[in-house]
Amino acid sequence: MAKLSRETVQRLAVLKALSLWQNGAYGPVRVHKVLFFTDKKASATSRRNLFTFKKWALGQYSDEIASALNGLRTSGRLRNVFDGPAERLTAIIPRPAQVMIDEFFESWYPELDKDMAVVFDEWGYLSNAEIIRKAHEDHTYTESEKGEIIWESTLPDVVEIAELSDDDAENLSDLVDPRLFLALRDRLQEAVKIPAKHSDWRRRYFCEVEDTL
Amino acid sequence: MATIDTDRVDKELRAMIKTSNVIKAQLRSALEKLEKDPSEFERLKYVPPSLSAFKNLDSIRKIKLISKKHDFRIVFAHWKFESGAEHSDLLIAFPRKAGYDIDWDWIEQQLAESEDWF
Repeated sequence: MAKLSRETVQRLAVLKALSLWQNGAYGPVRVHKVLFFTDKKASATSRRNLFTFKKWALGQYSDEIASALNGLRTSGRLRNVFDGPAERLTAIIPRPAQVMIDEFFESWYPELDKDMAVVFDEWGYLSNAEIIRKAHEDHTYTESEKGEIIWESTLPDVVEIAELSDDDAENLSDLVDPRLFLALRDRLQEAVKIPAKHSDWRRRYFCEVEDTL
Repeated sequence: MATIDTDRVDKELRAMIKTSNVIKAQLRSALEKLEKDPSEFERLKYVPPSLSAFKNLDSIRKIKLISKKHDFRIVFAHWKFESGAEHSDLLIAFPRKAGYDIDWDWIEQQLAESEDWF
């Protein structure tokens, strides 16, 4: 049985949602709303909630989605382009990785794909004004105070997934790990600046005499 | 035969060696294999374009060192030069935690304790 951290699962869910917009999502508000109403559908059937949401100025908002978006941008999986009335958020995801993410959710959370597709059809391409108007009419907004938690994520810190192999879990985790990306980028930039040199690793770590190079 | 630069992960490799004789033996064997042919190791999957655009960079690959109690990775850059020479820069070395997250606290601890090694 493989395991993924809660943050990894949340980043993957945000990446999956972002990939629904073929040319990118105009602004993060619609990303929050698509994921909120997907989660709401899940609540109705007592399944699982991926994110914690609270009532905020523009409607139902999740600090975890904001954090996931930041993490995805840092890890090179999200590009922000300013070419219209709002910032456009585009998922950068190779096709095989997209397939792996889809397969992961299909096996672990089969309802997500259908729920998200239904919500996306309704919310994905509304204008921002329309999204905010509709979101403000929902009872989760009208019946809560600003800052009040609407619901908590039901994900544990570590999610156990019977259907996932260890290798796939590792690949999925690395795919959306912002610190790994930053560490590799910094060290590659450092390495490329200096001429290649050989470390005498036999002597350094194993107290042996170098005899091959 | 490829050259290997271990400087960037020196403290981490020393810490790994201390964990067990099995890991120590695996590391020795992996470095020997790396010297012979870096492309024998698995590629890091889905590397973003911004990480793969460096001149002469052939690939980013990883070494797995796994025993009962330990689960380490060493990620390295495999460079191929016009002269035909090949070189590996070990970039980052770390243990995995439950949930496949990289144990960044362990890495920071090795860096903090760096003066103890010399």
